[in-house]
Amino acid sequence: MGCKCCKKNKNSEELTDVERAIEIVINNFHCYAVKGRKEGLTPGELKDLVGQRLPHLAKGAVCLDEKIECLGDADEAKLQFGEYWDIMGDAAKGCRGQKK
Amino acid sequence: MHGSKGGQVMITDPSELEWAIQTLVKNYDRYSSRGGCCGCCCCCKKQQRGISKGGFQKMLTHELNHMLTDTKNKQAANKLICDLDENHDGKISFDEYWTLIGGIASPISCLIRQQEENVKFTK
Repeated sequence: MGCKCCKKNKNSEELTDVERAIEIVINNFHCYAVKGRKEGLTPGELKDLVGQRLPHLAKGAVCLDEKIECLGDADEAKLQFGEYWDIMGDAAKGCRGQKK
Repeated sequence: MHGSKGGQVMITDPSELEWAIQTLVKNYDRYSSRGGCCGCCCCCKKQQRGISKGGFQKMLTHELNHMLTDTKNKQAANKLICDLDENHDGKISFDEYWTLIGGIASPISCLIRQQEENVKFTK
């Protein structure tokens, strides 16, 4: 996949870890939102993203796949950034659970 | 920087995106554990913890000072903090924290997309 997730901003060295983290999450969204209108991810694209980019966290958040399946038709539905962010939140909660 | 290339995933190292999510989680824990807590995870289990409003503002200025230089984003952040006023529990839970960061990220995401479109048109 010819994606440029790791491309660096001119001023990325000045960014804090949190800012860099947010940037990475955003870049991943745009990396995978390639079908049709690019402002949204299809559930299929999201599933690929979770499988390929979250190999460890996806294990912690058991119901991630089921949640994605509930989001609509794998190739038709378009998920906005907010919905993608919610799924990332579930993954984050999974990783908080693992830490205990 | 960790990263997975071309869909091949290193199983041992966390991916770049995983690093990012963990960083955001750690950041929440760092700001929510201030004030009486020793900072270890065990305290957080016993007590429902959250980031105080002041702590959240501190976090915004310390951790997000570059992203919030844009006036539009600053307004968005101010609005987020105002919205917190309506929620009278005084603490920001992890869910609320995540929603708030999402609120900051979303306009940035739109900007990036617009920039990418513009680049395409100029090529």
